[in-house]
Amino acid sequence: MSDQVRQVVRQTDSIEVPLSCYHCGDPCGDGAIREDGRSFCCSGCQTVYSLLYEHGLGTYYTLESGPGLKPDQAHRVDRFAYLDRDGVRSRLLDFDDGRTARVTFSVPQVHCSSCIWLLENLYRLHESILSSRVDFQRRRVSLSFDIEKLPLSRLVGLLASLGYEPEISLSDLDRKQPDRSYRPLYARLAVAGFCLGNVMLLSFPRYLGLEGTTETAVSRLFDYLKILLAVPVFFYSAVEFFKPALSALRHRRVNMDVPIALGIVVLFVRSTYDILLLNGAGYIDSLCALVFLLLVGRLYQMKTYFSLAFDRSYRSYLPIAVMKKTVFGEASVPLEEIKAGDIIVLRNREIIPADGILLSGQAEIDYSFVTGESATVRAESGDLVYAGGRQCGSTIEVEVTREPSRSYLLQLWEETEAVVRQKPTLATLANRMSYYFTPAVLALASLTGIYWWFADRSLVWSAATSVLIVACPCALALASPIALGTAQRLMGKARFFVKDSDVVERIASVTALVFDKTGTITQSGAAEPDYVGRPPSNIEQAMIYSVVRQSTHPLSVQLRDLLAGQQALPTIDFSEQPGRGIRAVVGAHSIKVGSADYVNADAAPDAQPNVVYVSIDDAVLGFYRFANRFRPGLKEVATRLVERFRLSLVSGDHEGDRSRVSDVLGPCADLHFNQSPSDKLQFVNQKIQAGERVVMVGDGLNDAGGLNAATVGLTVVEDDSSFSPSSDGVLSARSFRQLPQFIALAHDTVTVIKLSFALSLLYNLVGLWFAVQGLLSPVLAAVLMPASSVTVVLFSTLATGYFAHRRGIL
Amino acid sequence: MDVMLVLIGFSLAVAAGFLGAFIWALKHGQYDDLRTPAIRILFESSADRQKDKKE
Repeated sequence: MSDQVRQVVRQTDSIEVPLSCYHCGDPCGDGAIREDGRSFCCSGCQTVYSLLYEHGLGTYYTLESGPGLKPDQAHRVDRFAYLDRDGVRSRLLDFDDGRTARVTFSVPQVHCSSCIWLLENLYRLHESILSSRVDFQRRRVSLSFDIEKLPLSRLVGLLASLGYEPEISLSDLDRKQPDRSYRPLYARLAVAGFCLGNVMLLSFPRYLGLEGTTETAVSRLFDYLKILLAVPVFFYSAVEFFKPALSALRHRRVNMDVPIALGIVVLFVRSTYDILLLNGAGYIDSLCALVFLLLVGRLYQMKTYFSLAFDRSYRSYLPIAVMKKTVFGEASVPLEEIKAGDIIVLRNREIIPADGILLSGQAEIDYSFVTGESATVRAESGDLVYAGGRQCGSTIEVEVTREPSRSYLLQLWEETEAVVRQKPTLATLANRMSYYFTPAVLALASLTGIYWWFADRSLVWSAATSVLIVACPCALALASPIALGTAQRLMGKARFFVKDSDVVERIASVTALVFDKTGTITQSGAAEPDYVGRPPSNIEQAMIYSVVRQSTHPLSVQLRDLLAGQQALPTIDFSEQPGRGIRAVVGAHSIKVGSADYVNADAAPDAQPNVVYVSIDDAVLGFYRFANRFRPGLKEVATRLVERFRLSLVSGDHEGDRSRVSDVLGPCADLHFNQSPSDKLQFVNQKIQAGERVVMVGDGLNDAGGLNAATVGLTVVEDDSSFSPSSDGVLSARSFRQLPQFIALAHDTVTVIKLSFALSLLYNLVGLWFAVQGLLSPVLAAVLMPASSVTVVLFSTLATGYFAHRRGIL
Repeated sequence: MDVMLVLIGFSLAVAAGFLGAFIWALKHGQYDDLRTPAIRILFESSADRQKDKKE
């Protein structure tokens, strides 16, 4: 772009928000960089902006304001080199003919229309990118590119430099095809709907009692056409119910699909027999309506949240490759080739893939995936470090002591998997109903048959089959999926996402709740600051502020925010010792901010993480403590829950917070500290074996065992795209205070299902009254069966919606 | 009444045609992504973008 154009841009964009970054929308602070009359918070954002403008991609900024992402510049250029290795590349690419290749990446950063626009216009940024397409729901990008001119590593590097670094983990190597399981159901529904419409049309003469007046040939033709239309419904659409029914029978169980499949078979056989042999009308219209409505119920059950991953395995936490130190220098090596004894090099923000011993460097490890604790752990040379931790700060070297596949993380996971395999599946309400329902219907049909055998033999067949037809629990089968599906959608609107609708029913059966502490009932990031020591004067506060604003350590940032509003003074000689502290000279004073031993303070006996000491001219002033803050509304949540459920807390932290937690959760809560991940698993298991139905609420990988063992495992996430272990539901932190309402709604939903059952049984009884007498006419069946289904569908939807409204969820 | 037969055959054929079209669309992934196209259609056309580039 020429200077002239930049001039124009400068004039037209005179309305400018002064302190927010044009690229990413974050506040710029004092260090704003200016270009073209726009301000940027960092050079990374500015670089992306220049790059996009040079390639005529300025539209990116006009679609949304501040759409960009801060690119991570701390990384080395060659860190994606492993992607070009044959073993890795061929497993990642969807298609490759040596010249053109296609690849699909998961890019969780995609969040707005600007992102879609930019990622779909990448071909203008690099000529070797042929095309790209975004799937916004699943946060995925597929790219076709010329692999000869643009190796995979450079393609990923390009995306990363724009801030859209793809999430490439071990689990991507054996990629599955995109989920297309919805397709057969849609097709079955379409076929059933098509046939239903035409069959009803062809049944009109019969509905209106015109079969006597029209020519017999035409009326016969109509009936034959109906059979023809019933064939695809029976042999294609209804397979959806035959398959589960057969598999249940094979396991000598009865589920809701068994009586339904029975009803469908009887309807089809009886109708074909009636029409072909008896010149009768048949029940083809009832058959089609039944299958169609039941398939609609299946559709309700199918709600999935594409952007959330409920089933993450440990493999998605680990990188594909790591930098290995060899005699020739460093080389990126696939994780699968790492063996005990290898020395690996980890940079800022990289995940430790295997257990090992720290050889050199200042390790500051964030084990939040593993433990849920957000405070970083320091390690010195010779210390053990564990797989799953994330290095924050400078580069470290680690000697691998156990292969990645034998790490502590993996053992934890396998322990969890073993528990899940043993976990009994709970029979759903509908299946428990059909357990009694099916034998009852069969008995009633036989009794009817026996009665008519003695009363009037010509009616045996028709009366017995009529009983089976009318008793087909269509409405019964619809009640559960519709009510649970509605509840699931309403909860999703309130930012509580459950994996499938059955989870709603399981939540309703809960008797006890188990919470994790850090990150679950406390807010990660937000802290309640307090200060111990001699209060600093205004000028001293300004000096501390001037020093900490130069560091990006999380505690420095928190301290900076706490002191925000102070005047920034000029500083000299700033230096930062990673993991220990920072120092600088302000005016004539030397300021040190950091850990107790860094400032030479006597640490308080109950030394806690998240404490920052301050000294001025080597005289210790005191310390700031950033204790984790409980989630807003936690107290109300606990008060409401404790009325109906037993509350427990299992935390990996030390006892230091016991009194604070007890204050908030109330005296009835059962508190356990210093719990290892397998302790948590055991705790939940014991509760379950004692007959409790447990909801475990957690957030980190350390809760994964408990989450899987619990009747329902819920994870609390700060934002929907963040990393969470596998669970049954994801609760957005913003909706945490509504947890009691969600549980109450699950209860209400089960009540609604029970009422619907009663309603549909009422219809069934009316139908049976006619059926046992052999009086069930095709028209009566065609009215009664859809009417009962529609009543139940309407009732379930409206009643669930009403309860959600009354509980204040919407 | 014979005309009825023709009409019914015709109406079934038309309806079956639409059913076939739906299943074709389904098989070709038209329902795989229901959100992105709704956003994508609001972007300016590629002709306009070409102009934008020349400036």
